[in-house]
Amino acid sequence: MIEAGSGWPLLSEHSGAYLRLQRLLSRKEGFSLCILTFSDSAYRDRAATYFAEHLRASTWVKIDPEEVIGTERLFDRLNEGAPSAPAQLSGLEHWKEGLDNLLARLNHRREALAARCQRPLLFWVLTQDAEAVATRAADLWAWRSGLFAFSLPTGTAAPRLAPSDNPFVSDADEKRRQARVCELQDHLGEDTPRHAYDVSLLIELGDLQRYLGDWNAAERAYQRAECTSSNLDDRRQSALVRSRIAGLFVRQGRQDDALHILAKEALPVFEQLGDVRSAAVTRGQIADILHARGELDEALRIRTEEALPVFEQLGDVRSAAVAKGKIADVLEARGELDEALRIRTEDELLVFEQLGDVRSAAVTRGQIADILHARGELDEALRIRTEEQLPVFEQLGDVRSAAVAKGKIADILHARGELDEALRIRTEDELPVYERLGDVRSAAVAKGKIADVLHARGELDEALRIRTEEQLPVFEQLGDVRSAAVAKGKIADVLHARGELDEALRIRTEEQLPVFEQLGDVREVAITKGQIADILHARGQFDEVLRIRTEDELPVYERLGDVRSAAVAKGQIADILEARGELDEALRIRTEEQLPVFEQLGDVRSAAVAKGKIADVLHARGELDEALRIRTEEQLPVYERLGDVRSAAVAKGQIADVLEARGELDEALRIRTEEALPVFEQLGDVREVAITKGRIADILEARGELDEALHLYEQQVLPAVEALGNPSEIDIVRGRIEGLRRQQRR
Amino acid sequence: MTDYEPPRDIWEVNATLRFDEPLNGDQDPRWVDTHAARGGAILKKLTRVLGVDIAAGRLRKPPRRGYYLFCGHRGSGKSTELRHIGNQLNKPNIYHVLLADAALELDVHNLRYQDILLHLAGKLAESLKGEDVHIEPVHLRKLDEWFTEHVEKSETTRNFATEAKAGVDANLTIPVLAKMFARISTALSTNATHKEELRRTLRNYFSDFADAFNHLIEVAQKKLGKPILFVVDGTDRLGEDDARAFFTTDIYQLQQVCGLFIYCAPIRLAYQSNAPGSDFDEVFHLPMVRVEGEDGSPNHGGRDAMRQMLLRRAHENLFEPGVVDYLVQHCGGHPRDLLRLLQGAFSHAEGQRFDMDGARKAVGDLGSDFHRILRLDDYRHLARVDIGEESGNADRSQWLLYNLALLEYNDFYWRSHPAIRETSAYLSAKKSLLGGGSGRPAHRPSKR
Repeated sequence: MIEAGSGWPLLSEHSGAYLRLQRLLSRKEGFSLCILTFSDSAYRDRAATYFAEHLRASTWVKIDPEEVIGTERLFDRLNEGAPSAPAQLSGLEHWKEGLDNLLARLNHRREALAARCQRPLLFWVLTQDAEAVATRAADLWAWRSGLFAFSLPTGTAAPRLAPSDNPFVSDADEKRRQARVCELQDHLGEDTPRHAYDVSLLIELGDLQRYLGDWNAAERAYQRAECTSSNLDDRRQSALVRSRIAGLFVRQGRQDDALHILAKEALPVFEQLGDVRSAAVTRGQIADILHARGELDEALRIRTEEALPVFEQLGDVRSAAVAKGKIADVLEARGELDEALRIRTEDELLVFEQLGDVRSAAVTRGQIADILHARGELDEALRIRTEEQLPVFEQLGDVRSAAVAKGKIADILHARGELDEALRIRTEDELPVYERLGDVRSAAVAKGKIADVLHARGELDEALRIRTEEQLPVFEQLGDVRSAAVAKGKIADVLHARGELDEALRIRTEEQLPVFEQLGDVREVAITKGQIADILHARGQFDEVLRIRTEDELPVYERLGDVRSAAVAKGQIADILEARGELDEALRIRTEEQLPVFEQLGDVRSAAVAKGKIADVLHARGELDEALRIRTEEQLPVYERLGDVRSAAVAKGQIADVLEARGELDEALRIRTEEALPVFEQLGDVREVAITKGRIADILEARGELDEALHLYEQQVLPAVEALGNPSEIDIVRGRIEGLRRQQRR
Repeated sequence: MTDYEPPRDIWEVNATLRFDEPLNGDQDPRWVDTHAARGGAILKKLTRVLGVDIAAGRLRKPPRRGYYLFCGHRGSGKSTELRHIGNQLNKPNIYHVLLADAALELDVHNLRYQDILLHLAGKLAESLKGEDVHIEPVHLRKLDEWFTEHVEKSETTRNFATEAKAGVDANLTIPVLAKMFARISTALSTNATHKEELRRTLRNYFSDFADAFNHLIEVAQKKLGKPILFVVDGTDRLGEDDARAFFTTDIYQLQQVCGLFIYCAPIRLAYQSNAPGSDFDEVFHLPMVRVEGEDGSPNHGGRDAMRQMLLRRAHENLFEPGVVDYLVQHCGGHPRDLLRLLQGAFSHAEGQRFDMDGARKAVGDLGSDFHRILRLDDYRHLARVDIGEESGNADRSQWLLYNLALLEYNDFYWRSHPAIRETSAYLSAKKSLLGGGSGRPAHRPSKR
């Protein structure tokens, strides 16, 4: 099939012949005879036109059936045009005195032809006439430098098994996919197939196996497709299959191998073929890897300078919109949310709507929701997901995309602290769909999200069990080293939360960090080092934490142009300074270096968090009024507006902290018992419930109600903290109980 | 020659790889001595026939006249070897060798004995002029008179004669004669009208011409102090009818000119039942280089020669391990096919070196080229020849030999081209013949 608008105007199966011809003609000196066979004159003319432009073979002598010329005149014409550039000769079959006559003449005059035509000669012969050239002009034939077939396929029996349309858009369940895999395997057998249509089937088989999580089998199917394409001299198809293998490698964490395939094997083929479209797509895939490795600037450069202009030049508005979407991805990763949002809404969504591509439009709306989510605009993000995106997928019958959308809704609910509903969606609406579709990877990711909720609810043991028993083994079995490393990081999070800092630190340094370093993922390396710093921070090793933040983490984000992460890292540096008592410098960083960035990025949520941190400093410096003003006027309203009930409850707890410090114990108690605690209880957030009850007990203690305070600590706080399993927290609570008992004894 | 370095860049190898230029024997650094590898007989036999003691570097007893044919497969290196032989014999104490290439200098699409002889006369005059040999006008008179009497005075050729003599000095000298005959040669190769008229004139008054030419040869040999050897390349390219006329029908006229002549002949004439060999003094066959023995075992001498041939076109470092041997093994000892495989391996190579995958594909391409001309039963025929059940003399064998599907080696055995032996069509044909066995040939019949 010829792919319109790719820049490569011929059949893919002729790509090998073209590349060999191109290579042969490179720097070729003097006469050389290249015999080109064809079966369709219109196709030959298309090929010859392409060769005229791309192989400099603009001297094109067409034998006119009406004109009687001798070989001398023919040779003269072949000698016209740019010296040494290849010449083409076509229309042999129209020679007035018959092909045999011409062949006999050329055969006897081959020396004269070579002497007069001191350039490569592309000699177009009908496929069925090639035998005549070989036998009736045997001396000329003996001088051939190569034979290149550009015949259209004919007489091929229809394939017994037709390739399926994209099997992933349909609602085919795992059973049907498995049945199709069996059908394809039975048809294709074990040997390397020989027909072009089998390549499509092998690719379909590989795609299905990849989807079903059998990545090794998928790679084998792709390798067989590549081998068949190579045997058929279809270098373009071969490169396309290699790109798919590269995609698998990316999943397996073999980024360097994938980059090698894309940059060194596939891209040169597309470039040599003049297939600008495939080349641009491949460059986009390279940018994807760089993006994933955190090399955002280079990814952005490739997308804006090398990929997008090609699609725009080809007039391919759809691909251009997709490319712009990818640019938005990079900007989003760099924290440039406003510009990313502008691209999504103005450049991407608009195009898909104009094209009537409701599915892509729905996907883009989801990406817009992602940005709003990142900016903390949770209500609007939720509205888009539930009202604009999900109904489209449901209407299209695209159960997988619908499940993904529901997962995103669960993300928002999770962020808002609505953990029970988030958990319900994950377990009832999302996970079963992936399991039914046989999409083991997505199922493992969904289980990880369930573990996130359980973690947030303080159910650390169950979260740990899911991570270690249900999620990590899947990634390891798939060979997805990257996802496995991320899962290990999550396990470390749980251990950290349980106070098992040594083991958390070991996992981070020995199992997680080396993987990202090996993958060359500088961004993840920086993030992991930041997480190591978090552990050291908890241990009070502030100097080392400060060193990591300033030397290992912050410079990476700055180099990557990731202003948002850099601002977050600066906030963490301020945390250390604050812990070391350097309150002024901490405040300066928060107000001058962190907050303005979030405000500029339009990230209202992070700005609110930063303001909360400023309030913390003011609180520590004793500026309680200003701290209270910030909490009540600048922080809390943002969470309420965003629908983030959990953060709002936390903020209220902090307002209570200020009131408590000002001695307004009753109001503080009221806020904790009536406004904060019910929210955490409703959200099922065991940890926050325990913390809040502890703070209530502290107020009771301050009011002299020691029995009530002790009762609360002994009966409610301690069991909850013991259930959470963090030894240091348990020690703190026991210490508080002991203190209360001492007070009672006095 | 010792300073020669083969290209170290694969692109330069491709740029300089040409199929249309024979090497000028040992004058070209890419030339490799294949005589021993081909069986060693031909040069020795030829020099002996010509009375040359190569070891002593002198002429012992040359024949006064002799007419020899030089045959070989297309692309086997005939032109290169003829030039090498010419270089070897063109020595002060041996021969004055005159090489004419009919394919370049004449019209082989339509060539008769007259064209060749008139051209050779011109070549001789040109050569004498080049050597600055003075021949007294009296000895040139006969040729001039033949021209004046039969070309100038004939109504049909008068205009041509006027053109040929235009601007030529009236005094009869070798340079004058050389110029005149050069114009005749040009007319013979390009002007169809004059060609026919000149041929008719020569045919009608051939004895006079032969006598005049013989006289010039005799005088020239005396002046040069050594015999003249005419080597005519390109006549192997004659069409079937022209070849029959030239080598069979008109042989008497050719032999009217008294001298030593080596003509390159189409190989198919050598295989025909009424072959012209009997009318010539000797027929020399240039066989393929033996890269394997009759039993299929490697012939190291032949392989070394082919290996050298390859390594003078491309530096050894450009080949991945095993590729040189693979190409040598699969060219069947056919020099041009070795270059073709090198060209194919270049086209298929992915990088800056010749790799094994590319070499295999090049062999596959050559097998596919044969597939275009071979019938299904040809594979069976080739397999039968290979296992000794079929003779190379069969009609179809002749066709297969002519089209290089079957290759002939010096001790008169044939083998199918190795590229064909890799094809599934051949393998299944052979398998069916052997009943599924592995089948090394038990014996091969001798050719004669």
